[in-house]
Amino acid sequence: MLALALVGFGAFGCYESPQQSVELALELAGTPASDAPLSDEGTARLSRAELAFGPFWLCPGAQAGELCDTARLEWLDAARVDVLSSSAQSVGELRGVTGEVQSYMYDLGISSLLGEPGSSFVAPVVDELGGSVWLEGTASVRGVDVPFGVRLTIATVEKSEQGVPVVRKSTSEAFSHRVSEADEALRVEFDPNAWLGSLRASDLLVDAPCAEGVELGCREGLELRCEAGVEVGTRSCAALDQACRAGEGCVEQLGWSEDEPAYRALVQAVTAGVRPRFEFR
Amino acid sequence: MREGGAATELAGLVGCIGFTFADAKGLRLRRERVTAAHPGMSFAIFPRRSSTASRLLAASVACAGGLVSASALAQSAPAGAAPASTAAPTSTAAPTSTVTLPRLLDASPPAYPAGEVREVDVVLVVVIAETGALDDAAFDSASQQGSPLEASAAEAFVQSALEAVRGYRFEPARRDGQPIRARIRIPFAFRPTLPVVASAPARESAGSANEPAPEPHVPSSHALHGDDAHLEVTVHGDRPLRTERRAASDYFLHREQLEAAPHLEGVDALRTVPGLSVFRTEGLASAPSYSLRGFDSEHGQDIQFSVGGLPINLPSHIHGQGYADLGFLIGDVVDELRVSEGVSDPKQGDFSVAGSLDVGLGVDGERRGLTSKTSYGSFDTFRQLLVWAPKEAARESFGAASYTSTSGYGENRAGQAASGIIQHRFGEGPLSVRFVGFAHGASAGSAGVVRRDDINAGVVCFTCVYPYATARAQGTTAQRVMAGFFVDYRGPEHASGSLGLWVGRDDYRGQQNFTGFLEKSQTLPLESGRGDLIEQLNVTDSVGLLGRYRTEAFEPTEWAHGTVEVGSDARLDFINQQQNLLDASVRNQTWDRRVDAGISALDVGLWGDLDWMLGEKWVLRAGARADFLSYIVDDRLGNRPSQDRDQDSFWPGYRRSASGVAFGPRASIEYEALPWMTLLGSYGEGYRSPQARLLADGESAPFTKVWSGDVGARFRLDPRVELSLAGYLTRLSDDVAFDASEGSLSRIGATERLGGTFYSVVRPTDWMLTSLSATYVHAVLLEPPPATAEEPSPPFVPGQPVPYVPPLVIRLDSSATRQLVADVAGKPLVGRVGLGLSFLAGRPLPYGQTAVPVGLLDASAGVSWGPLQFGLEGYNLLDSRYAASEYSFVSNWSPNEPSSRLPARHIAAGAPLTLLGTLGVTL
Repeated sequence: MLALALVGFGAFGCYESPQQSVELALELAGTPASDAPLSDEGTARLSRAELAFGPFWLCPGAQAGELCDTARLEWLDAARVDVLSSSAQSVGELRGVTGEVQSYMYDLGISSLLGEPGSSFVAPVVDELGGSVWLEGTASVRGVDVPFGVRLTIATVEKSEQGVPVVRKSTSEAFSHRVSEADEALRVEFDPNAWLGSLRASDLLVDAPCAEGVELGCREGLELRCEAGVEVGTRSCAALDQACRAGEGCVEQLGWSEDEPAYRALVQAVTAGVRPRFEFR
Repeated sequence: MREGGAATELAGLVGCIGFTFADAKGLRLRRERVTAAHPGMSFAIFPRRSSTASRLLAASVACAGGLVSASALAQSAPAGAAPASTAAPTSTAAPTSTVTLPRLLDASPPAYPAGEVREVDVVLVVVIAETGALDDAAFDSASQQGSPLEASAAEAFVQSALEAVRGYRFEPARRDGQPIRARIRIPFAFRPTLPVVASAPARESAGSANEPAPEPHVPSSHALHGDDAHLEVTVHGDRPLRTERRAASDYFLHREQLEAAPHLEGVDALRTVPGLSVFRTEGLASAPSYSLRGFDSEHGQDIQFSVGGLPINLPSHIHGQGYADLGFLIGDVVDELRVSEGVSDPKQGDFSVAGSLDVGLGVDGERRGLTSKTSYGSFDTFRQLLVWAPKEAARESFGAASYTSTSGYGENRAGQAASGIIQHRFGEGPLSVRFVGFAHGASAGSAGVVRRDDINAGVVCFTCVYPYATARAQGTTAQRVMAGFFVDYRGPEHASGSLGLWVGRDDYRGQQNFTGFLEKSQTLPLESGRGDLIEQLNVTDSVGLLGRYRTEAFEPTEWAHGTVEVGSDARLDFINQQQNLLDASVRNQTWDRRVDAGISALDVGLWGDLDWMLGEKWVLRAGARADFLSYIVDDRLGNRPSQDRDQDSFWPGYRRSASGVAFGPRASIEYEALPWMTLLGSYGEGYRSPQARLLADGESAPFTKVWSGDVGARFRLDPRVELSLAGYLTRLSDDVAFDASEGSLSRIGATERLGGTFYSVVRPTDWMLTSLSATYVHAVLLEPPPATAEEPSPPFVPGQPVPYVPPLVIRLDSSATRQLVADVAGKPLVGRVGLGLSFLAGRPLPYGQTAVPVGLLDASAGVSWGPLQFGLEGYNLLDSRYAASEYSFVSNWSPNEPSSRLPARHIAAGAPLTLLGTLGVTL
């Protein structure tokens, strides 16, 4: 019977689903500390570099962000990662389907949410770190050692980008991989040393001469005591393994607030500077 | 047949009348044969001295209104043989129909009234339903002309005859194997002095020759007197005005099949259609989701629905092209379904992609009168039905109204609906007028969809709704009114015609949220995440005309004869539609506008059709159809301000018009290979009109073209067994599928379907019926849209199964009706049980997912006693947790956490175990 034949033929029609569900171990790793050059002169070396990583998405299109409504793989959690350790730290499972991925995006523990302007989700790990990224180290500028430490809070702030992850693959960056069932893990490797290249010597070796109304100034790592705008004495902060900060004199670490260029430079470096390396295996 | 005794014998009145109708011009129409009666076609009993006595047979066959009588002298054959009779009645039946007259299966003679000594003749007009059940019986007062009975005397004899005939069982009349309703006249001759007469002739004729005949009975009364039996047989009301059943995948489903299994709503009767699944996915007030032989028709895009001749699909509806809400149907007045799967009939127009389905309305004799049914059951479901069908009026004439309210299963599914349907046929004879109209209103909440992973994680329960205002605000309100006048002409020699005018208005307002909190406003750039509650408004005002004429039969050659038909249908729709995003937490504030358009849509269709008999065994039907479609669109949000122009440099809006012609040939061929097997093949090209709002200015309307071919066979191995097998191949130029982000349909490119359907109807006994169908389809995407920057990961790839289409659909309907107790306070107690089983294999979903298979078991049991009925219905008896619909897309129902961007499985929960008790009375 022809009808039966037709049905039989149809029953054997070939089709293999283009997408298979997959789970890949997500491993995060860092890079051991090294003397990293600053942007102009001097070097710096990190003693602590931790970040809150996640959530993390891998997208099928070449552009992430607004054009990644549908992801290929995702990890919706966030974890604290020591990015000075080259040992892989397994933080969870990437879940998704097979297929090509051409871009990525992630947050650093703070996710912008759709809804009320500025609303966001803050992962617990951010509270532990005191921010998205915690960096500590020592800079060496013109023979002066300057300890520094900063906790960066990094989140999407543009209203027009609400709901979009803060770190996205750049358009010039090459990134492509066909995720298959053979893939077992994805290693994401950060190099925090590179972030230091966004700092300038002047960010660390503060030059704040005495002036009217200034009691404590800084010059080449020296604390300046000022009276009526006149330098009346100095103290070497470096000798105390300290840094000099304008208005405060010698302090344990030099840090920056959100409105300071060094802070913004570091945020820029973390979000748009040297990107992590991705390795599927 | 039981050998007749010397004195008496059953009257094989119309034994196997293989007569050939001839028209007034003497043209022989060989296919128009009526295999009437049987050796035991004795509608009553009467004394005969000789089994070879000649009798006058008067047979009238009036198919569909044009009752034309003719007489023939029938020579009855010897008892036990099938007496061949010939008659030459004028017939207006369709040229290829084969009509089998009803036959008596079981009968006992009436009791002779006590105290009477007269010879009295009484003629009853008896209507036999498709089930073989007695539909109606009435005294034919006209038969007493010339020998009037006294009223009181007549009453006694008539009552006796009526009482007797109520116990008769019949094999129904059939046309082309399909049971049809028939009216016959049964004369009873009350002869007090005659000896015993007894019979059960039809049992023998039905092949039960070994069954013992009833014992003789005294006193006797006899149908027909003397040796010449005058019998009139009227097969009426079912002659189609035109041949609709052309392809192997065309089906007629009659009431007995449709009501075999219980149905919660009238529209659920469609589940009996082979390959068709129907589910309520968006609540009581929204159109159900349909799927037919490999086409996910969503709310009707691929099926041309009509009810009583009124077209139901709404073109360019905001919620889905061809939106067809059959929620107004009242099951008690659904008389039959005429289903054409595939495209083979030139009459099939817009939306006949998977096929077309016409719902015939009517109330049969058994139920005529005033009927009230009250139901109550699970989830506070209350249903009140009223049907008014004057007994003296035609089967098509009735009025019906229903009201339903329910708290709904789970959460947010409360709703209520009311429907009224009126139909009346004016006049009899060649020209008659039918009015049909309905009004429907419904308002109901909807739980929408929930994610399977949320169900598994306990975030939300299976039948619950997400705890956000934007989810709880989901629901639909719908209103619709339609009315039409149809003038039907049934002329001689197969000539027929129809003229119709209809008008309608449909209002729809729905709120749905499929994706949770993902949307950003396109008109207020800084607004986002306020809940993806999509509001859709659609108002359609429609007016339509239709007309067709089929010529008288003519026979240019010895080996070919047939008819020609031309027809036209046209409709004009004025559509206003909007789509917005609402913030339910702030009194439904509109935070985005997506659509605001007015559309004028015109569709004028013309077709021609040949219906020809070639030789003795071949029937060829061929024709073509062309539709001119024209659209004027006022897209009030078109050309929104963009970045390359100042916002104040122009006014938003994009007015455009488009038109085009869709043309397609249609043909089918039929070959009677064996007396019990007919082979069929058909091919047709159909179309689906475009969503007008998507057309560009001046564009030649890009119709969705469908190429559809069917082959198959129908078998009739036994009068009680009907089988058909069909295979089909269908290709679609541009298919559409559900898109959750807009809550509507989006293009998925060309698709192809290869499948087959098995269908059977078995009547193992005269009180039991079972129909079974199984449809398998291999449906694949041929050219889905490629990846783009905006859609880098399209959900579909070539070769992928067409989403949402169940590859296998199985449906079983079964019922049994028997008299439980012959006499309870003077009336029989009749019991009835019904069973419905549906199985849908796992439906392919986007992104390579597959839905969970669905299996549902429904059952009913009831009794009727006189005018009273009581029933208990159970739906989803196994209480399976099933998804009425299942999707795969990205959503975010956790607005306070980072959202997943992976496609997730979403379900609209189907109803759990539902029990309903019904109390009814028919006066």
